[in-house]
Amino acid sequence: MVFAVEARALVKVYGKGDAGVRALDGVSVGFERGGFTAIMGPSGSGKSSLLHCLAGLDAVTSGQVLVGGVDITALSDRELTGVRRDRIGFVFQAFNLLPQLTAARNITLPLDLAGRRADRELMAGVVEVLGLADRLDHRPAELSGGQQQRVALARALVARPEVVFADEPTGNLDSRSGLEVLRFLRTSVRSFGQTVVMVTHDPEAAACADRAVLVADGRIVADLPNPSADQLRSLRPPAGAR
Amino acid sequence: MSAAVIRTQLSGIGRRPGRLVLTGLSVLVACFLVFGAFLARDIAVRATADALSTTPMATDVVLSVRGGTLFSAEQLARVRATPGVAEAVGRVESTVRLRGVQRSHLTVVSDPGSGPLSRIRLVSGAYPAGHGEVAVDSRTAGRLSVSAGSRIALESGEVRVTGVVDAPADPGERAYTPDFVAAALGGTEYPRIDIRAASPVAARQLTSGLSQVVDPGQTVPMSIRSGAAARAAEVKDAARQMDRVFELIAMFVVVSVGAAALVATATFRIVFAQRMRQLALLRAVGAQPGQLVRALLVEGAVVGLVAGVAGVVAAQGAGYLAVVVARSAGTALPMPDVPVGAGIGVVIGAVLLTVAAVTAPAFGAAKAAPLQAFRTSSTLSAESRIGAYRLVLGLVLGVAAVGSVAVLVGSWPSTEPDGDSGLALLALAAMATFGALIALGPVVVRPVLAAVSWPLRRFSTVGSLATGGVGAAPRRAAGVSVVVALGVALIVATIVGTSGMTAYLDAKLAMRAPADLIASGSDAGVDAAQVAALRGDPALVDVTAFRTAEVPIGSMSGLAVDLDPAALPVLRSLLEAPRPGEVVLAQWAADSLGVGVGSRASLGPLSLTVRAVLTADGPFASAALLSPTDLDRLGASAPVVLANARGSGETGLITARDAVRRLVPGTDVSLLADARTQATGQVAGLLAVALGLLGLTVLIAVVGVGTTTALSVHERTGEIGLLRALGLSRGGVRTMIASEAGLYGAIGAALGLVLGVPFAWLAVSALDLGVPLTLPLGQLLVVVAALVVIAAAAGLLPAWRAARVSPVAALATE
Repeated sequence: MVFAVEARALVKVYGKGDAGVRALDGVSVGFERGGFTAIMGPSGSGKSSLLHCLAGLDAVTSGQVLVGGVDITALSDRELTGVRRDRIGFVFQAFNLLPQLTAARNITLPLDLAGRRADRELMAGVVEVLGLADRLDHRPAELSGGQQQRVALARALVARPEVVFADEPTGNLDSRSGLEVLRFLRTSVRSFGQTVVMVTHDPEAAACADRAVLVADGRIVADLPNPSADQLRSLRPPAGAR
Repeated sequence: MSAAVIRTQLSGIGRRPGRLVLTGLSVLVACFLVFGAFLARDIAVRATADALSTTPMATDVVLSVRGGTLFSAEQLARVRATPGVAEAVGRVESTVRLRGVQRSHLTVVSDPGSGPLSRIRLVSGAYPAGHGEVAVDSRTAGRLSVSAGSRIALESGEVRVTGVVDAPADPGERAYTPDFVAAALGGTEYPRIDIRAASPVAARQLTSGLSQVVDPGQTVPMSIRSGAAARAAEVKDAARQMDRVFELIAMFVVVSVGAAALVATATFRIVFAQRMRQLALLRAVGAQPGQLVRALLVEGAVVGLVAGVAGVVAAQGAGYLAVVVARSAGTALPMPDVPVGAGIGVVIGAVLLTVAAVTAPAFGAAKAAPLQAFRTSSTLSAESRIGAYRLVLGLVLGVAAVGSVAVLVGSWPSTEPDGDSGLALLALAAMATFGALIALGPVVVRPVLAAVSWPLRRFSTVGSLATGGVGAAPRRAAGVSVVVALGVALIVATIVGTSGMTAYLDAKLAMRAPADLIASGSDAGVDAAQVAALRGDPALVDVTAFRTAEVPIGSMSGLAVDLDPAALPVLRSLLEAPRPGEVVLAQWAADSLGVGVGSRASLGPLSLTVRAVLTADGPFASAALLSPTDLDRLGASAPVVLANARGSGETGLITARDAVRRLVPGTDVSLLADARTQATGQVAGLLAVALGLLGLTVLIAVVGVGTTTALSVHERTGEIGLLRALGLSRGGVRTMIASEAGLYGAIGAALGLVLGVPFAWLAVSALDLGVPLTLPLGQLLVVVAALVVIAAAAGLLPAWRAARVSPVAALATE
């Protein structure tokens, strides 16, 4: 099976020697094309490290990360930057829009950096679906949290990346806006065939995904297809058991 | 607790010396400037005094007359015979006419020829020992074509040249000979006697007892001074002239110090912002705001002390280095003193300046909420709107500036000859404008940024990101751009002013010395055949004859000439030859006749159309330039010839002069070239000094650009991480940050250009010297371009740091 993104025996150690912390301890996992996967785990479990490594944001200690079949751990910084720009989309917890750019310029920023033109049809479709048509000229400060996150989502989708990584995309939103964003993520998977990998600690959010991968102590401890919120809640390790 | 807080802060300096350098650099440069200017003045004064001094170092006592009576040879002999006098020399300088050459003189200077009281050094031949003998300096030897053994014909006889000497660079043709010979040649006695004493004790006794010896009857009023006092008086005299130049320099230095204070304030604000977490932590564990303020002020004082000492030491070192370099280049300069008192003064000033600069940032930082210890710093300077108080202050200052300029312009033409009060008004307007710029900066920056960044935004995404980065923090941009603007405005004003001044002086010199030499010929002038012969001589170019006539100008009388401006390169661009029936008038002549360009002017029997009015005098201080036909009717003088030397330098001049003498027998030839070289050198030297000093102001501003960019990078770590995550390469980040730094420079340069040019024009007009308003566009563009490049270079270090920001930084929750 060809995965959009795949990790092989991934190890990430922060620090050196005795002081080293083993954040990822031999993780192997694949994410299918057009799938919506949630990575769950308590704080310090290694789920954020996994995301950073999968997305080419951070160097791995050992193991491989394949994005569209290409091992990105072997790439130079320049090549890696290109991979992030052209093949990976991001949605962050803190929205992370550039305050000085309008919504439209924020959406096309990765394309502008690549010197590419946005696919007009796709752009219009994404903007339409996300309900941003009348917000394109606004700056981030003039948008609500939900709207800002939808702009971030549009930015991630419009470059047609191999995969969209979402890091706690609902963490800074009220439950209604959060639900909306999750619905859009689902829509992007269904309507545009987008691969989405979402990190969250919220079982309700994870239940929206097609699959949930549970991480604890730097390892994958469970891999559930079509999870329900109750199922996920019951699997959460008891508090203090990191 | 206070001590503990201070200890924490100071140990921070020790661990991060980079910050000390960053905060202290502008103060260091300012101290370097102040102390450097002080040393330069000292060196310049002493060098000038040495060059102009007529009192050799070995002179212990100087006797000089007051009033008309001179010391006689017999009195000089009595001084020589006085016990305790090792050597006594009569000082006299007399002028004798050279035979055959009208208006040519030889200055005969008395000098013992050797020993400590001599000012000259024998190069060849022997030093004269008896009557009718002289030695000449090498320049004079060339001018008069003489060497050891030749004779110089004087109106009153003849002198024999016994040798050639090296003498202080004095103007004119000079000969040196012992005092009695010089006195005899000039038919005069001694206004002054220099004495070398046998011992210091004897020198003191002589000072008190000599007047009895020289003049027992007390009939000659005289002054007796020590050699040191005489030299000191000379130094003081030289200093008075120097101080006019250094007043100007002092003005620039004061501005630089102001710029340094602004940059220091901005830098402290930046450094404290970077330490916000630590300061907040101190607050969280119980430090009072007052304790923090005190600790930060002490830190400022330490920075000021270190920077002050470093600046003073660096200036002293640079002083030695400059003298060594100058000496190896052949310019004799005295080594700088070590003025300890002034050095301490500068260091104290540095401490006070730094403490003043740190005060506002310290109070701001001490207000840090304890909670901030638990957050990373976020943008502090995004606010573009300014408070009502600041807006009102800015507007008031702006109105004051416009008002002062309006008053100044309204008072023209000035009734006051020197224009001093006009300049004072202008300085006031400049200060008010700058104050308004500081107050309104954040508001002004946006539109200027929009204008200067257009090409960046148009053609590159990284460029528009850089523009966005600058525009997102207008306060920060304003803080640094205003300092850059100050430096650029001063440089621009200096260039514009000097360019006008140069054009003015060139024109003035062209009028005073339109050619290298002038020959008046015999009584009948230079006839046409001789002019033709001169034209054919290979040593001469631009040979042209002209005549003069006296004309009545209103109630006065002036000189009219029929010189053809087209014949001489320096006049060609300045003047157009009047056609018959036309006249070109000097300003004063036009004024006293009450005429302007195009109107009719009556000069004696002539009624002429005014073709042009000159800003100053006409050629050779003439009042009117006429066509030859019109000059004929005024009764023209015998023709005189002007010519340029074909060869360059002194040799070219001498060859040309000899050619004229050969072809026009019995003529008097004067070299006009001398005046020209002297005056142009002065202006170029002044411009170099001024630009060098202003360069240091710009250096301070550039330090500000670097630190501001560093803060920008620090505050926007998250944003830079995000751009990296979204696919901006490291090189892209570097380009973006360096472009931001360049934009700070560009904004400052644009503001400086817009302010500097009009103020320079106003200043030139206020001086009311008839200096033309020029716009040396090429030079100004070079300045702006250089500044943008330097500013971008100042951003390279922060850019390099920014490129190392990991994309993971974008994911850190704020």
